[in-house]
Amino acid sequence: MSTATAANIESTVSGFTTDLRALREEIGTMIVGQEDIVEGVLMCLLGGGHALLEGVPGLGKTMLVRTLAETIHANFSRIQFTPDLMPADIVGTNVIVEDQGGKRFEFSRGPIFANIVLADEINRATPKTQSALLEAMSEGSVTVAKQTYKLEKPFFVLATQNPLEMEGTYPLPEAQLDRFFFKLVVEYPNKENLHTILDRTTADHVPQPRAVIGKERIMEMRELVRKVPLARQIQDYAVRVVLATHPENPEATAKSKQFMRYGASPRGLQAVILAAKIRALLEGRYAVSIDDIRHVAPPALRHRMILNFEGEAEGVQADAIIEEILKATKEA
Amino acid sequence: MAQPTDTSVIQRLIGRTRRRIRAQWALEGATTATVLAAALALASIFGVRTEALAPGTGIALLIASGLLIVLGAVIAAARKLDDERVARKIDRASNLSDRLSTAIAFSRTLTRKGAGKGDEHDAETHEMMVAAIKDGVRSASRADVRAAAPFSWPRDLRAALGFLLLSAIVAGLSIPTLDRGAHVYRAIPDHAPPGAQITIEGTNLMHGMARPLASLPVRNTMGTPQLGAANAPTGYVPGDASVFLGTLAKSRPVQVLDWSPTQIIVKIPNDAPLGDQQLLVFIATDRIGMVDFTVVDPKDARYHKEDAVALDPDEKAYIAAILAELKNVAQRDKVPELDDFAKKIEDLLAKAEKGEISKEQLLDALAKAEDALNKDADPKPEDVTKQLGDAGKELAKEQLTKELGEALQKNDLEKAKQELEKLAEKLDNKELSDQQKQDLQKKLEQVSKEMEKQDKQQDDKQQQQEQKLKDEIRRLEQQKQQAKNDQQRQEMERRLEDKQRELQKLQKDEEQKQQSDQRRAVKRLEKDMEKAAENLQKPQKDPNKQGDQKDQDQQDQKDKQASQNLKDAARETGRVDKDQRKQATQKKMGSQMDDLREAMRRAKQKGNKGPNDPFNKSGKNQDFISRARGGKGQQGQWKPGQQGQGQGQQGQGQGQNGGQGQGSGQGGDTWGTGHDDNLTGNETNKTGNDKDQELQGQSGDKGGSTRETILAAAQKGFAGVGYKKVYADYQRIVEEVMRTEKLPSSYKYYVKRYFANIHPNMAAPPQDPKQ
Repeated sequence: MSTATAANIESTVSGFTTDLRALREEIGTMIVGQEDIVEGVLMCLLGGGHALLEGVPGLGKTMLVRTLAETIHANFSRIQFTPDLMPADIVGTNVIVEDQGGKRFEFSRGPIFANIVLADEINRATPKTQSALLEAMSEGSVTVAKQTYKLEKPFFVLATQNPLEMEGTYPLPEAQLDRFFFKLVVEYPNKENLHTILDRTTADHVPQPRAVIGKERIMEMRELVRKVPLARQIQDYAVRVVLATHPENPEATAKSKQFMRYGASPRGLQAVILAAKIRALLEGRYAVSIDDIRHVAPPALRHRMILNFEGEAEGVQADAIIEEILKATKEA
Repeated sequence: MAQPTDTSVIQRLIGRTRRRIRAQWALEGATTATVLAAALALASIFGVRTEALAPGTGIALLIASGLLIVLGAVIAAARKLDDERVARKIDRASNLSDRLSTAIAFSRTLTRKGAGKGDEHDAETHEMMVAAIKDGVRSASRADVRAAAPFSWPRDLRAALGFLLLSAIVAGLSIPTLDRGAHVYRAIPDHAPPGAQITIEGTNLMHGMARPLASLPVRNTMGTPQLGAANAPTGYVPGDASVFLGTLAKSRPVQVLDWSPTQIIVKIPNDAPLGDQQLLVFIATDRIGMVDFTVVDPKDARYHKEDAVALDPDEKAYIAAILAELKNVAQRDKVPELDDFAKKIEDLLAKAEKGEISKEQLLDALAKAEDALNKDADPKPEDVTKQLGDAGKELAKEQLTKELGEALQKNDLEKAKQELEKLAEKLDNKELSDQQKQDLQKKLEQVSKEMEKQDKQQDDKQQQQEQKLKDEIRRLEQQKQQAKNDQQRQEMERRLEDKQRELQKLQKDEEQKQQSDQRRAVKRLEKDMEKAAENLQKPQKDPNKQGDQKDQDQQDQKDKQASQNLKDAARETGRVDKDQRKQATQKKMGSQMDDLREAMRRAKQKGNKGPNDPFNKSGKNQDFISRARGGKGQQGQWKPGQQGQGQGQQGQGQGQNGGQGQGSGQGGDTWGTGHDDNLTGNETNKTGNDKDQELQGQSGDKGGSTRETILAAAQKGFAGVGYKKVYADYQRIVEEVMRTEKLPSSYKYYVKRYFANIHPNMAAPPQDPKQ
């Protein structure tokens, strides 16, 4: 958008809203329920971040990513992380190719070279392998044998963790978790949704998703997101919420002081703001509201808050602390 | 680039909402302030009711309470209320997702940007802001101002209502106000003699009084006695308050000694009339109250202290008679010490009369007065007389000192003193020749040595006596230890105690002798004579040297000194004389002193009225006194004897003829416990063994017989001439018997009382207060 006018903006925003809703609806044809997860994943995509999904197997995480890739007409790859997975298995490696000129090394791209990457059970791979993925997530490129290969945009990684099988896994360190835009917890579908799932997937006609928008549109939408203005008071609210996650901060709540070891980083605040902007646009608004902040704060902050021993021993959930903070933090 | 959109719609919404919010705040503030205001009103009402606050102050506080409410509303409503904050309230209440507040915020931002404060945003963002503002403006129609600023009951409403209700109740209550007026309640004591200090108790006695800076002396109002320094007030005396004694119709001012908020100390005037009256207390011209008060006679025994001594009227009269006699003798014999003693006893009696002294104090004071009288008395004044007599005998041998010597021999110390003074005068006037001086010198020297020798002899004798007694005591102790049986031992012990007492008395007498005024005066007299003799001694003249004026002057000087010595000797002689007279008088009045002591000992305490008077003793005494004055007594009161009754408990009692009592009974194991109530005895009864015999007496002109005279006096009074003569005869005998017979003091007392009461010239008896 080079020459913006008021009318353009309104149509731009309207177009954004329409495309995003269409995208959501299209994904919804394949994924039953999980509206929050879908919305969250889309926010991550449009926010330029990556998503971490946590849920038991069989909840449609792979289906979700695949559907997402198909709806935006993007490349999709799935990486099943196992303990013996090597970094080269992710990023690719140089192979010897023999041709007329003789033998030469040729970089064979790994599965990471896709627009949408599903890193399934990321916590099963070794930290070395994890770091190879995480480095690509943060840099947007891969370096192999001193050769850097840019990853095509949009580049979106959706990593999953199985909360049931934590034994023998390599939980992602906090520093690595902080790189994920959202952490979304996939709940088990309710009864009605299960019926719908069955109806859709066990019949003879299995629906197929169609492309709604292209990759370029995603990039445009990303740009628009960053244009969404934010009132100072609302931004201040977001800042106070994030500060309240730190136990040493005067604005910290009682639970925060009691159970927190470290609070959310500024990256988490960025995620909150970006996600809030996306949500505002999703609802056809031109500016962020405090409700948007409240809505996106849990998925954006839950994986960035480190509990102390007491919190872990008590089984305190970060979401409970975030909820208390959102209630306690005054709007102005 | 789009221009900022007009947000007046939103501003109007904000304005409306703000007004509602401020109104609500004002209500909240006013309600909260009402709690404080009600408390303040409550306090001021209470303060005015209890007079802790002046009415004006109370009203001011009430007005302040009202203003407090207004102030609370104003302060609450005046709080800062940002547009964006109000807009956010509207957004929340209207579910507008912060559209209005964001529009206001963006409007300000864009306005600042338009004012040239830098472009912080790119075009798209700018447009989005504009779009957001427009969106806000569009959504203004959905704003619910009422929901954004609802009116609700203030949270302090209940408290405010409660306080208001309480204030109303308190305002309606009749709280008893503190009584700050001055009141008087009672006088302590409520009766006192004139001159006594009285305390009037009260409250708030300073109320309504002007307060001078310092205590002022009491005003000398008309009728108030002029006061000396001894009666000056010791405390605060207000200038505008006074106390009067009397009645409402007629009263006199009394002296105020001290005035405090709770009591007033006053002094009853010395000439205040006796009887029931009132003490009226005034502050300025307002009478604040009065208390009952009785001015009593200090001699009225009803008001004496409980432990005050009480003397019967006839006891008092008897003691007064003794004292009068003592004073007469003191003046006659020139013994001022006895006169002082009598005065001391009179003072004691005066105190006793006023009830100011208890029996113990009376006896104690009497003992002290007696000790003072007997202080330094010589145990053996006859030794002194003998010593002076021996000196006089020697002095009489010399012509010059013959008169002096004879006076000393006769124990006429007054004359001896005069003779000594004459000698001294002669020396001063140089009327004595050298020879006479020498003779005088020799005689004085001789006498002084003789007196010294006698002193030594007496001392030796004393020591010998003491030694003898000590030896005797030692011997008796040995005998006691060697006693063969208890009887002997007891006998030895008794004799030993006697000797020890004798030794103690001897030593005590010696000690008293050494301290006696007479002995010391005699010693000084002796020394004076010796010095006079030394000064009269002519110095040895050198035959080769002629006498000159210097020697003569020296001799004259010595003569003067000798003269002074003689005057000193005369003075000492006077002292001996005075002391001897005192002791002689004391000895003479020894019996009276005993009576006085007995009378004091018999005095009762006020509360102790003594045993009942079963024999109507007081009645009989009164009858007796009446007849003694020549009046008629009551018939039947005074009879020679009455029939008595005696009962023995299986005992045997035989009445004697002439009848002291009759009792009869069988002999028994125990003694009788009954007694004859009639201690005065029965009249003599005739017995059958009497033989009547008529005796003829000789008629004479000497009047009736003694017996007849006495009987007649008993019936008719003591005014007769014959009785006086009889009385005089009996009195001499009584004195003789009292002196020689070993009668107990109490017996002597009664006998003397009896004779005092039948004295022919008996003064009118004291009035019995019971009459």
